[in-house]
Amino acid sequence: MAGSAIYILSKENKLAEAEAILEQHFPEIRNLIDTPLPKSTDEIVNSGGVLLLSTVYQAQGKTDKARKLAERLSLLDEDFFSEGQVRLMSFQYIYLARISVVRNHNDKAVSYLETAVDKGYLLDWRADISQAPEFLSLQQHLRYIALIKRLEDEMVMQRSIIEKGLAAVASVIVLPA
Amino acid sequence: MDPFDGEIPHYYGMYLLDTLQAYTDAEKAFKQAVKVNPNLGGYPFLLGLLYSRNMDNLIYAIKQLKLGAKTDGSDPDYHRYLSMLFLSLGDAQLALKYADKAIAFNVHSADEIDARANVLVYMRQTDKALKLINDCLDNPDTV
Repeated sequence: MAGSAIYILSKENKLAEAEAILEQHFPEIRNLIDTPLPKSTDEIVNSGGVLLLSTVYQAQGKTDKARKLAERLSLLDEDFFSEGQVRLMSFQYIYLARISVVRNHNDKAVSYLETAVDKGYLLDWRADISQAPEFLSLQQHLRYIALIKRLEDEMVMQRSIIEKGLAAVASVIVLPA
Repeated sequence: MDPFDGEIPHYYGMYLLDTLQAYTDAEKAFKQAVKVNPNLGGYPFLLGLLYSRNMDNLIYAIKQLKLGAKTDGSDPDYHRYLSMLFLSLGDAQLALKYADKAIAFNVHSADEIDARANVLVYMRQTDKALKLINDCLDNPDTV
């Protein structure tokens, strides 16, 4: 919910308003800046809010605060998310991308987003990828731009199939193995 | 093993989906579960998620979620996910229509309101989106 507001305000460069919203509704996050880093993933709290405030601080040029917050999420890595699974699931790559981008690992973040899409993720991609405030900093990244174009092209293709009628779909689409 | 126990293919399907990520096998297991016991609910939702999250197929996902919304019309999740799928496709009008249907079931749900806000952002109606979000965040009844 707050993510959409932060996206709008960041895009309009109203960063003080974005910060105010987060501090009003999630006052505890700011206090985390001076709290010792979590020693285990169990100690990580309000990771979504941490991502958003770190994103806003980074955009404001408050890089030290942004870095301190982002470091709190460093234990949420591939090993953590893949526990109990044979491999990571598509949507988990998007979460890893969000963490990577706030830690200034932009190439890695784009690689994670590409992998999510390679693994079949299309559900809510506009909200999760193209309208996510964390990825505003990737808007000039060539591979990110190519990824969004790839998604838009895929949507054009799927829309054209729908317009021809869902009844005909079964004979047209071959599901991926 | 009771061949008419629909819960067996259900749990097998969940294991294939979540643990092994064997998606075509999970799809088969869910379809088998419905065949064995048509009264087991939630399959259109699971199949919709499977198609849209793991098999890059929004068309099959929409088909399943529309089926679920028809058979279990009081569950807002079907409408909310349909809103997400139509937003992904870039059909803002349908995305808005399904977000509104979802909100009608639960006017104080942050998830349903967020779905509508995302559509408004896509439509570049950012003032409306921001007002909707702020009202929701300020409302103590929001869940």
